[in-house]
Amino acid sequence: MKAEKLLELMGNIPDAYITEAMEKPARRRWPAGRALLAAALMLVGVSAAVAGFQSRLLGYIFRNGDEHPTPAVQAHLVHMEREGTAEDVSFRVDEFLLDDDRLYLTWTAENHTGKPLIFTGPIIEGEGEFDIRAGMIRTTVGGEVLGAALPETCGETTEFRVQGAGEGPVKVTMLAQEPVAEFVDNKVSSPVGTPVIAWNVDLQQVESFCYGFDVHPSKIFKDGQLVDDDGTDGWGPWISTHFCYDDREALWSDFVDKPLYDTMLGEVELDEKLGYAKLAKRWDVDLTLEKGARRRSLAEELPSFDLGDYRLVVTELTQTDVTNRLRFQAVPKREGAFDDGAGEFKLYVNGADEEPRCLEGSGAILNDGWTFSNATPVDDTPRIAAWEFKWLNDGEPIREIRLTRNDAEDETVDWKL
Amino acid sequence: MEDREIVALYFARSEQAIRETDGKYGRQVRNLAEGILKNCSDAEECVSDTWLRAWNAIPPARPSSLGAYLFRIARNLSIDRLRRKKALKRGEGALVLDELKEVASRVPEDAEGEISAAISRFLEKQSKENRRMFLLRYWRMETIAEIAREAGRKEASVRMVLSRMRKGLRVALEKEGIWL
Repeated sequence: MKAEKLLELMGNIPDAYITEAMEKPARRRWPAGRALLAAALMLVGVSAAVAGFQSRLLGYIFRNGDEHPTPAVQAHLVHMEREGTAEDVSFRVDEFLLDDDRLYLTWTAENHTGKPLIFTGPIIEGEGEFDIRAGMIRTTVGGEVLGAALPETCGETTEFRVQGAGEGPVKVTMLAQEPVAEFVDNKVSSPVGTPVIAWNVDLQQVESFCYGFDVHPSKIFKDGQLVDDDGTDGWGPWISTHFCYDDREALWSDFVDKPLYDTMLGEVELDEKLGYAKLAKRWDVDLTLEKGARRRSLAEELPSFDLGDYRLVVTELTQTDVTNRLRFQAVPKREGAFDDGAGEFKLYVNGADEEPRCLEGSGAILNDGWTFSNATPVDDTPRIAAWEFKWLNDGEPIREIRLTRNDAEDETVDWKL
Repeated sequence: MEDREIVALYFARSEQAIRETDGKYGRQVRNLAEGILKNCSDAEECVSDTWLRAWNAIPPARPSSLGAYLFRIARNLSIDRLRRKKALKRGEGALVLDELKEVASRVPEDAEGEISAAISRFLEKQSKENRRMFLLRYWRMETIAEIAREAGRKEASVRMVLSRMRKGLRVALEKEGIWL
């Protein structure tokens, strides 16, 4: 009792505070004011040698922020020359880095026209397939919506998984649409009739900081129907517009099975057809990708372990100069063996204890296996020192494995139980 | 789908209500449960239990905020589960409880309503940033490291803020005549 009871009573706080506790944290990018923005952008122009931690891209990969990327990591980072532009609306790629099959792009979009524009992208076209993993946006930038001055700048680091060649020329595209439909406050009224863009924004926060898309989940209504609800849980930037409105769904089905590039363009076309927004500007930035950070194996023989009804097989244990990657899979010995399984594992990189990861228990997920990757920390030879794995049954560990590298300094890796 | 439309599905006893609820709030409820339980399979069961609890409660309940209603259920079920597994006093739970002991060494049963109301009034007076840190720690039971990462502060700074808030809460309770 006592403190435990107090913990329980905390559950009785008003709904508003519960909603506040559950909000996705607004990711603070940089102040939206032009003067402060200019100061922030000056950092981008600094040479690679000193860019190190000021690099937004490296800041994205080294999320913990405690480690300083090695010179080897920085060698793979490409800074784009910043071209002077007098355009009121602009898009540029600031940096990019190809880490074997992962491509990271840091970019900036600006709209100083005083009227809101909906930015969509970036999307990539080139040899191979570029599957989006994080950082693609669909959001409104600049101007004023419902009395709120929106940030005039938006920037992200976008991560793609590259399948196929991945090298050579690629085209990075960003699209800007001018809203045609009226913006309405979704908190005040439930819109009906003509297409409108309904907003559900904490206007107080928008004035001071550029939070990127997280602060601007938008909803689109048509004829009283919500045709876009991916943003309603506060997690998504997407103004995706399918599955809710018959006509839209029928139109959307033309795009869903196509590659991402066509799909995104299709979204924009569809918005125009349905009277929400029209294409105002399109940028195509040409880049040349060179595969610098090659992946190498950390183990000559990948270990596997007997876990009773199944076998745990490590299918990849590799690293580049930039990231470590551990991939493993549970292979059933009999049908239905995994239905109740779950596990946790930890990876110790250079002695640091990473947060434990949870593993789901469904067969499908297990059969796909799990991948763990993290940025390579710091200034000495990166190494994975140990890997702990617990297989759980009803929350209690039924099998524990601790895999330790025999000699972390030695290039020859010997993993032992 | 709007909350009121989902609630209407519950009232119509349509199983579509569960699908819509899971689609709209599933990820957040899972994250909440997983954050408290630190265990995926337990969290998944907790999510299912939350949907079942909501299904049984609506109607007659007609929550004004469906999200908050579900989050509250999920939190309570997660803490119950920790308690049943005797895990509440281990790991992060033990740390959270230790901290809360600074506020309350005992909670008189007849004052529970007053205490809840006083906590709400105390939170109302806090800055949004401090309140969020407090809620993340004592409502969502997140680690200090997680809160520091989100707030962009050092862990020591978060500890300091939380420590001051705990003392502030104790003083606020005492001022209202609640001695714990």
